[in-house]
Amino acid sequence: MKDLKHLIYFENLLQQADNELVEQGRKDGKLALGYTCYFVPETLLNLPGCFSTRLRAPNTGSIDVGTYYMTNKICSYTRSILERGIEGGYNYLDALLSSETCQMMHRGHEHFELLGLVKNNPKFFMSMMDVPFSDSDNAVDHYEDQIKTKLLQPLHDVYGVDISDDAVRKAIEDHNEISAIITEIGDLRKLPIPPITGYEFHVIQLVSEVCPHYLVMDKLRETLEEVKKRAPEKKPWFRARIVLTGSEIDDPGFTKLLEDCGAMVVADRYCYGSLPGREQIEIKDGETALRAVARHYLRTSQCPRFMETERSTGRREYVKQLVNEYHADGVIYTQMKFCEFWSYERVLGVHVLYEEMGVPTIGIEREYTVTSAGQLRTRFQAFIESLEIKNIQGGNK
Amino acid sequence: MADKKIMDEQNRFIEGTNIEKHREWRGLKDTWYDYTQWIKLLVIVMKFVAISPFRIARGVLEYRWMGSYLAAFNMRDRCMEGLRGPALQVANEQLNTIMSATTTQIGQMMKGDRRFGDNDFAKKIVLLEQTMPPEIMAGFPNLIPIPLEVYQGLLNCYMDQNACPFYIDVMENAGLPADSCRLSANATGVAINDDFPKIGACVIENNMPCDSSTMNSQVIDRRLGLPSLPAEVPMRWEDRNTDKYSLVQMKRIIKFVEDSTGEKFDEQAFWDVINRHNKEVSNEMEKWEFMQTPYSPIGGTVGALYHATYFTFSGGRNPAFVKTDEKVLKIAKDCYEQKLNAFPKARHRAIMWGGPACYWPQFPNWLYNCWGILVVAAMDSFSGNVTIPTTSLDDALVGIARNHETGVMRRHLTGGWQHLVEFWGEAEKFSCDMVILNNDITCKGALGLTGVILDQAKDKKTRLMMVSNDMFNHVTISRADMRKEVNDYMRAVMQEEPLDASLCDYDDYEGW
Repeated sequence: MKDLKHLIYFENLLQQADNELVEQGRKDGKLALGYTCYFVPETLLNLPGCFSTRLRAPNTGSIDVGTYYMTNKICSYTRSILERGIEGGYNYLDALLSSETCQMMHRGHEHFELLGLVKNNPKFFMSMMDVPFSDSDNAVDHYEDQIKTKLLQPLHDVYGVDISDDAVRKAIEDHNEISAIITEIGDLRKLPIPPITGYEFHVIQLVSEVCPHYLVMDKLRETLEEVKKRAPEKKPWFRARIVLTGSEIDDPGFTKLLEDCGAMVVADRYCYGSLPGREQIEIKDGETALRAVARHYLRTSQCPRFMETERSTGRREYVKQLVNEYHADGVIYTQMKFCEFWSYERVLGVHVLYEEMGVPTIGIEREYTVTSAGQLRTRFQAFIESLEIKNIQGGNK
Repeated sequence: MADKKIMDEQNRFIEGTNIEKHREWRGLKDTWYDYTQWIKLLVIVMKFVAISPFRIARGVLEYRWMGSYLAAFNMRDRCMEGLRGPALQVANEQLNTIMSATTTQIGQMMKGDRRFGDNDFAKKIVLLEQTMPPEIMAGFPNLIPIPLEVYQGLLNCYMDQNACPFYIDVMENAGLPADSCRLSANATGVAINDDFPKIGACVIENNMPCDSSTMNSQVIDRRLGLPSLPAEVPMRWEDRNTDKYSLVQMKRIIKFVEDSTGEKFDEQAFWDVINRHNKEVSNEMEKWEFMQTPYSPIGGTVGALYHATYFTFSGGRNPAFVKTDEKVLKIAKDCYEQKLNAFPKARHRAIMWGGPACYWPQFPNWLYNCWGILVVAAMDSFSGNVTIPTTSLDDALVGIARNHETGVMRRHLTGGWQHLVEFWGEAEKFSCDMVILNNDITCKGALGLTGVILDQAKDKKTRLMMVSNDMFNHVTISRADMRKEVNDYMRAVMQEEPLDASLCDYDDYEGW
């Protein structure tokens, strides 16, 4: 396929957290609001005068200092974020909005406060929300209250951010606009021979998360039009279609590694992915805009911390649904090493998908950086080969 | 050179095991007293067997974990090592109450086990996951709340260090990484191996204390096949804004229990239990007053164990704990009035913090006997301790939620970094010169603050000794490994020699 016009530009934006669009956003007088977890609604970090920037630690090398503070038994994503923070890589932040949802990231974010990691901004603050473990109406009430008191109010008190219903509605419009573009691009992956690769989509999705929306929107729109008109390959360039699911993946190199082995990642159901993340937020009749945001994030999340049986089994059903919608041949469950949530979810997911739903599935553990590429490549190749054989033998109908 | 000739306590054991050749000689009076208490334990065990002899015998044959309870006598003896006079009396009073309460519940589990034939008794049991406090069941006097995972994990591990690695292996064979919390992995392994008794009308899952506990509940839920409800109490428990949600959760649980069992919430019974819970808390606070002085007979292994037990098993339901508290407080008062030093070998007073090595509950006894380090209190003692308001039902339910939120391990691992480092303040309050930090190598919530704690230690006069453990799995970090860490620290940092060198290094890998 012909190269995408802005792909290299997008790739360059992912080379550092403080990229040129983030810098531009700061120069425009906007507040840079950092977050990592889906439970901190990205939508609300794009209130007028603010922009969201989901934290990554690209090109991570040594994480020795992060390891000193957290030991080598904490996930390397958390340690990498901490290390980058200690190096001053997030000095551009005006606030870090967080939630006590995963123990390790929660501890990692506490270090921003404990070690005073963001320099030169006396107004910088870190705020931590409590997030419920279910999505009942009462849970939505609680979540909404926490968003109000731990996210909106501090932003208003410290920086005078407009947190009115109108402002939240505007933020929802922004969310819906960027999400519509990403979803339309992502839906093209359902085609028999998609005009976009999983790697390209991963880059585009990440760019939409780490850059100020208003600065990247035009190029994303342009890319959508380009992809729609793009002539796909005559024959599939891949040997198997894969749903990639699991914990945090913010390295497009991981998707590239998988696709270099002959797969195409047709669905990205992982933290930092678009499923979920890029759905439209609908404001129901009689509902405040904030309520709509709270309901949306709590009910679309596929985080394993939801304990109720319906949500727990629903997660596996959602992956199966993706397999059907995206015509996938198999599923890969990934888990960041040391992640407690996803270690259990991976074990359970692989068992249920494979044994009970009949979907070829494997589970892998990985580090934040693709350091063990050789081992992963071998496993991916074997899995893809098995899927291919299954297809040739007509076993996967 | 240390006084090996004087003590030589380790030679009392058969080499390679922790089985005694003969009982510890404590002088005529204390040896006789200890023997009578041992007999008392024998009576407790006989009472346990009498609950349902046939089913209990079948349970021993059916469940791998049940066999480990045969080591209860050994566990009891090890908890008494080195204790004399009032310290020995306090430990015995508390441990016998623990044994009585827990064996009764094991008997009840076997009595209701549907595996050995269905009966109505099984429906009277409501299972509470992990170390969830039972106060929420206070309004159901006809139902029996039983903790689900504790008997097959925590207590089991106390009895026999070889009990849990099997279940952990089961879970690792299923694909769970070896770095996952051992407590949760063990319980999930029990579920996968189908080794939970088939009891209960319903199960209340919960999200305490951590991520792995949240997740293992979901696997266990699939295996139990009982109606279930997660008791999801907030993590940011110091935030008063979370109270409203806690209250809703507590009311959901009550309704769920009513719907699942057909029982109705009895408010009079509720207040009786809550008042007794508050008495347990006030007794604990009174004990702390004595523990802060040099004349306290409360310390070592059993104190924190006792606290964790009444937190998890009683919650005001079992009057035996209040009675025992009264006896203990009387002994403590006498000791204080006579200015009696109940732990004469103590050279250091220490607070023990973090997830302990459950396969060596008697670690504090060893610290005392080998190095003269008296563990005055442990982290579990500081869990719960919430006086539940009696002003209204809603206030009480919020108080129950608060007790739950600040429960064993949960209080210190959630809600903010400041809770984990409370040990500095507690050490000062209890006049301790040392903190022993259990470095549980799978506890992510604690490990995540390691560097901060080490940084803080540089500015403190209180000594910080970190001792690694693998919570339920002695295979990775054995008791001998733990001893070595302590020995190295005491010699290199504290520049001290042991009180009893025979205890420094010995082989008990194959023993209970």
